[in-house]
Formats: sequence, structure tokens, C-alpha cells
Amino acid sequence: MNKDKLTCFALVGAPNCGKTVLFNGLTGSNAKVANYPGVTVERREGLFVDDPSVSIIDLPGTYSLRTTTLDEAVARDEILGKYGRKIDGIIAVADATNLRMTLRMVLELKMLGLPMVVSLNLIDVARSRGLTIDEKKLSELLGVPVLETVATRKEGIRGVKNAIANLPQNSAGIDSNQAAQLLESLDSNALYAQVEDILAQTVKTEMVMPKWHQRLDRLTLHPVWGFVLLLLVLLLVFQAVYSWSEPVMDFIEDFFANLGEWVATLMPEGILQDLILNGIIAGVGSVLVFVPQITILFAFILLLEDSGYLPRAAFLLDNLLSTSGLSGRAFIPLLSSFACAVPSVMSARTIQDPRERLVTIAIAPILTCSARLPVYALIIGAVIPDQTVWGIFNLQGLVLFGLYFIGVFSAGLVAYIMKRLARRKGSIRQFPLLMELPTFRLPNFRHIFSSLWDKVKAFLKRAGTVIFALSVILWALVTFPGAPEGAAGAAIDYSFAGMLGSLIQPIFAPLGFTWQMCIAMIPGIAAREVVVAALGTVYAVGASGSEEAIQNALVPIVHEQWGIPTALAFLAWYVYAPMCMATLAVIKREVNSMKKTLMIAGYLFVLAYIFSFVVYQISIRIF
Amino acid sequence: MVVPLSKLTKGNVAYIDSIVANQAFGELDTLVGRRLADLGFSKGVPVEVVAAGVFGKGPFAVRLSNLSQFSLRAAEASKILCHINK
Repeated sequence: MNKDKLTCFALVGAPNCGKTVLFNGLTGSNAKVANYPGVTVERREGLFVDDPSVSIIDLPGTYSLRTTTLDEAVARDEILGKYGRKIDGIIAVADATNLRMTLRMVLELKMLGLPMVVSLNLIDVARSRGLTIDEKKLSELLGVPVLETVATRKEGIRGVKNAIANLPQNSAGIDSNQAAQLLESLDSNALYAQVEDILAQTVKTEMVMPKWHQRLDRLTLHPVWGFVLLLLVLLLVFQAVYSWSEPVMDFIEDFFANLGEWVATLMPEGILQDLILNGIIAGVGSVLVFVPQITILFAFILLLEDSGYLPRAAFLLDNLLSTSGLSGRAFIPLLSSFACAVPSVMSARTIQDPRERLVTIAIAPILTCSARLPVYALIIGAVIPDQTVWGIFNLQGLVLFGLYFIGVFSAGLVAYIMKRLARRKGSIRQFPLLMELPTFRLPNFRHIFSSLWDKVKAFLKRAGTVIFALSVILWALVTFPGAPEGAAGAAIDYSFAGMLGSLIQPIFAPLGFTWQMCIAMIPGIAAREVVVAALGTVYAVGASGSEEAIQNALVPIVHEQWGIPTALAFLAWYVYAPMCMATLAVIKREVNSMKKTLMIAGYLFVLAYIFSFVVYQISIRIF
Repeated sequence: MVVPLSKLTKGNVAYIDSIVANQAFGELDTLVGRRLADLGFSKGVPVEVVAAGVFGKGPFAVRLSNLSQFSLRAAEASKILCHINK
């Protein structure tokens, strides 16, 4: 269908007012998600289920068309037609639990002169808190149809659908310059006076904040008890991410191991079998194994977000983060980093200030992602004695905790240094924390499931394609050229990877790295968790077998052949090393600049090098 | 008596008098001021500090009479002057 012939209606409303749920109801399952050209703001668009000649665009949440953030600017520009498409009408989503603010926005939108319907959403929550409103009168005073909706229920959506069907198609559109001027001259106080006047005539009983809500707010925002609660929540999330995911991760690993064995019995031995087994199945498996952790993490984040808790956590952590030049808003992306930097970099989109967003993306890879755990586990198992410290702590556990701590501390330090550098250049500005603390409400599970699926899909697609392609390339590097007749060492020694490893070994000699380690680091570029398996290959400890078996076989080798200083330096290297192409690929996508991506990779590399150099040089003098 | 929002005691209701300039924001100041007005920080609106950071230094969580709640840093809060008595 010709895109210009479509009538285009825009869904406009504040963040978290149920806009997306309504959008899903209006467009069914034919919505498309993409990014706006040049900016990584999500753009969702779909055809109206009742009339495929009408297209509906879900705009980023905005409190006003006088914008202060990137997301909001995109919403405004789309309405003003700056993306080359005429908007024919507006479906305004008004949050009934916050009528004053939301009606001001409706009046602002009305000034544009476009055909409009208003969906008074979350009316169920507002009603249960005592609000009664004369919907007809409101509609009369605003001069546009107003429909009470509970976006999760069919009846409400039905009403909005009918109202949309009755909107005039192909309106005159708006003159963007004139509209921009109009917005500039807007007087909010006058609009609020108008809102008060309307509310006085339509609201029969006011909404009250329930007692439990006030108590919950007092608890969640309390400088001491709020922190205790936040720590408990975080503990639960981490516990879930690491232990609930374990059975599923084991299942996925076993599945791919079995699949490999099955394919091996079906196919004749040879280069093709090797590609499918060690390139494709191993590569895909290494991505899919992280899906449970990412799913659980995002399920919690969505749950906390939808219930209204996350902005409160951001409020609590603002003081802590502000010393490093960030704000509470960076908390969610940084939290995600502990599972995997890929979704973390993606979720940095919620940060509005461009500098803060860049800093958050830059420090996210330092936080200890779960892919580092196999490397940590191997080295700790090999060189740190399993003994009790101060009666209650385990030394190996303490070292692991220390590695997490170094990650967090370094991330903060890097952010702080970036703040100081920016201040010297004069480009710092204070990030205002002006942020709504939305009302607590029961999460909408259908919405959570659909968003969760979107996020997991995005992870599979973005990380999966890169890791998949790289694992095939790396397989080729490891496989070709094959070992000569009668060769003594492992085949990998003679391959391109082996050559590269020997080539870069002098660079890593000051860190005490052996050439075997350098070779293992090359496949580790695709994903850190491959490093252990690659070490297994290089040391030829019997490549067949589970990861655990490889690890057990490697422990004595690491212990005897590397020595403690080298092992510690390797550990230090993986605290910072930017050795994950999927993360770098996502960073490149999100910051939209090769230069910035290279700078981020470069500083991580330098940090990794310096840190392991220092660790090695100090520890050879001790041990 | 007129004091900035950042000086209000937790739990007491005050009334917004005006939004004033704060040099800390530099040239962004008008934008921040306009934003506050857009979000409903207008003259005469009752406002209550629900929570504040450690030692009451901010950030501040405030509730307006329309039940909408916001978090503000000290720099933003000091832009909002309030009457303690109506």
C-alpha cells in the first residue's frame, strides 16, 4: 500500500499512562518496531485493526510538547510533521489518576487544531480511589470525545475504536512553524487555570491518596528504611538472576551438547561436521545460554517499573550516583549490566541527558557481567585456596566479591573522571532529576509479558546475529590451516588463531601471559565465556566433555604451568577487558558513532592492560 | 513567610508562591523553570515534602495537591519559593 495514502493518527500521552497497552489493543499484532532515523528512540507503528487505511503511531511518552528530552523532542517533531509525514489526528491518552497535569497536556494538544479523541485511561485505579467524573460534561467542555478506558479491557478499547472511526480522515494538517511558535508562547499558568475551571464543573468527588499508598511512599523513599528495602529487592533480583536461571541454563547447555552429539552421529566426520558442531551449534548455544538470565532480569525490571517502584529506587540512589556525575536514572541500566552489558546498553535509552547516557554506556561494560563468571571460577578455583577466613567467610567467595567490588568501584571512578574532564572542557551541565514518581499500582501482566518478549527478541536478534557470525569466523580462524602431518601439538597451534596468538604474545609478555593464553583470548573476543573452552582446546585437555569437565582438567594446569602471578594477572585482565563483540556492536548502534565506540573499547583495553600489568608485577615480587 | 522548597520541613503543607531563577542551571534556567510550570508547580498550589535525602539535603520527593509526585534535586527545589502559611 502506498504510505502517503494512509491516514496517520498519533498516540500521545505521558510516560507510564498505559499508552502502549492501548496501542497494542488498537493495532492488534501487526505493529512494527524500529528506530527513528539518527536517534535510538523507539518508533512503534501499526495499522488500525478496524481500518487498514489508518496507521497508528505510538509516540514516546511526553508531558508536554515543550520538550526537554530527546524522547520528547521526537514526539513533538513527529506531531509537527518534521519526519516527513503529516499527522491527521491525535489520540490523547490521559492518566485519570493525575487529571490536572494530563488535562493541561490535552489543552496544549488541542491548540494544534487537529482532530482528537481523549482516552481517559487508568480510570479503574482513579475510581477505586474515589474519583467520580462527568465524562459527558468533560467531553463537552473540551470539545472532543472523551472515553473512560481501562486499556486492558475490551469494552474501553471498543469505545476508542469507534471514536477513531468517526474522526475525519485526511485533515488539513498543521503548519509546523506556526505550531512551534504557538507552543513557545504557551502560558502554563493560564492553561492550569482553564484546567481548574473544567475540573470544577466535571469532578463530582475528588480522588484521595489512599493511606497505604502514603505509608508505602514514606517507606520506599525513606533515607534509611527505603535503602534497606531496596537492598532486599536487589538481593532478590540477583538471587533470581543467578540461581533461578541455573536449571534452565543447564538444560540449554545439555540440549546443545546432545544436539551436537546427535549431529555427530548423523554426519560423516569432516570439515562440514566440524563447522556445524563447533562453529554453529557451539556459537548459537553460547548466546542462548544467557537468555534465562536476561529474561529473569528484565521480568523483574518490568515488574518494578510497571508497579511504580523504579523511580523511587532512582530517587534513593541519586545522591550516591550524583557524586560520579550521574543521576538516579542510570541505576536501571547499570543494574542490568550485572547480567549482560548488551541489554544494559540498550536500556540506557531511558536516560534523557545525552552526556549522562554516553557515560552510562561507557561504564556499563566494566560491571561484572555473568559471562565473566566461568573465567573467574576457573582462576579462583586454581589459585585461591579454599579456606575459611575470620570464621565465617570463604576466601574464594571473598575474592569473587572483591572482583565485583573492583568493577563497581572502577565504574564509579571512571564516571567521576569523565565528569571532571567534561567540567574542564566546560560541557558539563547538571542533570536535573525532575522526575515523576508515579502512583503505585498492580502491574499489568499481559503488558509485562509482551514487553518481555520484545526485549528478549531484541537480545536474540542483536546479540545473536553478531555472536553467530563471529563464532563462524572464529571457528574458521581456529580450524584453518590444519595441522601438518605428524604434528605434535594441538591443531589450534598451527591455525590462524595460533599465529595471531603468537603474534600478540609479546604485547602481553609484560603481563605474564603465555602464548596459549593469547590464543585462547582470540575466540574469547566473541564472548568471554568461550575463553575457558578455548583454553581447554589449546591445552588439549580433551575437548569433548562438559564445561565443568574442561574446567576441572584445567585447574591443575593453571596452578602448575601459569603460576599465581600470571593467573592473577589474567583475572585482572578480565575485570576490564572489552573482549565482547556483541557489546561493542550494540554500543556502536546506540551511540551511533564509530569514534566514540573505539574510544570506549580503547579505554577499557588500556585499563585492562595497566591493571593486569600492575597485578602481575606486584605479585611476582610476592609469590 | 516565603522560603525555598528545599527549606520546608517534611510533612508540612506549604503553598507555592513563585518560581525564581537559579544561577546553577546557567542558560538552561528558563527551560527548567518552564518545565516546572508545565508539570504543575504553579502559584497557590499546595505542596508537601514527602521525603528528603540524608540530612535533608535532597533530593526531595514532593507531592502537589493534585496528588502528582515528583523528585527534585536541591538546585531545582531552591527555584520554587513557597509560603509556609496560606
